[in-house]
Amino acid sequence: MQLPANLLLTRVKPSIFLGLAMAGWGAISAAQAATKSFGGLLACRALLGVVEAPFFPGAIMLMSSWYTRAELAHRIAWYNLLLDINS
Amino acid sequence: MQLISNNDPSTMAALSATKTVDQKSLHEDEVSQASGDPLIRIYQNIASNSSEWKAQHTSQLLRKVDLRLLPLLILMYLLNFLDRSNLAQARLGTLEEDLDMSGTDFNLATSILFVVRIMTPSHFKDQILERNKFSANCLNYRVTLACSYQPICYLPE
Repeated sequence: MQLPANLLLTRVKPSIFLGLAMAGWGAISAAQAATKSFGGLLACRALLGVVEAPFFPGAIMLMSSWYTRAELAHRIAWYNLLLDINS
Repeated sequence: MQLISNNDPSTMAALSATKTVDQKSLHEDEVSQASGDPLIRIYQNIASNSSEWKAQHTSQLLRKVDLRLLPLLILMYLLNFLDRSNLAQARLGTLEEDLDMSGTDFNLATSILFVVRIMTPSHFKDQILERNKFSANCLNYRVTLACSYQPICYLPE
C-alpha cells in the first residue's frame, strides 16, 4: 500500500494527507474494540496497515520540503534514532 | 497589468515592444512586472544583507523548523506504534477466548498489518539506496534485524 500512497502524496498537501491518515488510525484502532469475531479483527488489522503505510514516506516527504539536501540528512538520521528510542 | 488610458503612439510602441519581449523571454518580463510587488522588495532587502546576517538568520530559522517539525513527527510515530502494538496488550486480557482464536491465529492477526503495509516497496527506499551508502547500510541492517525476528516467533515455548 506504500506505492499508491506515494503517488497520492505528491498531489495532496502533507498537512492534510498526514492528518487524514492519523484520523484513520484512530478510528480503525477504536473500531478494533468493537470486533465480535476473528475475521472482523483481521479486517481491522489489514485496514490499519493500509492507513499506517503512508506515514513514514509522508514524514520524510514533509521533512524534505522544509530542508535542503545537506540539512535533511542530519534530520533523517535524528528522526530514525528517535524512532528507535521511541519503540 | 496597467490599463492604457490614452492612445499615445509612444505607449503603443512600448506595448508592442513589450509583446515581443514577452514572446522571447517570459521570465525576465515577469520579474520586471513584479518589481513593484512588496514581496519582491522584501526579497531584495533580505538578499542585500551581509553573509554573517544571513548565516545567523538561517540557523535561527532552521532551529524554529526543527522544533516545530521533528517533535510532532516523533509523537505521531509514537501513536502509530501504540496502534500497532495494542494487540499484544489485548492478548494479555481475554482476546483469544472472546474471539474464539486458536493456534497461530494471533500471529496471523499481528502480521497481516505488515503484509498489507509493505506490499509494495516505497520509492524513497530506492532513492536512499542509490544516493547514500550509509543510509543504505542502516536500512539493510534494519531489514536483516526484522527478518531475524521471524524465527524467534516460531520457537517452541
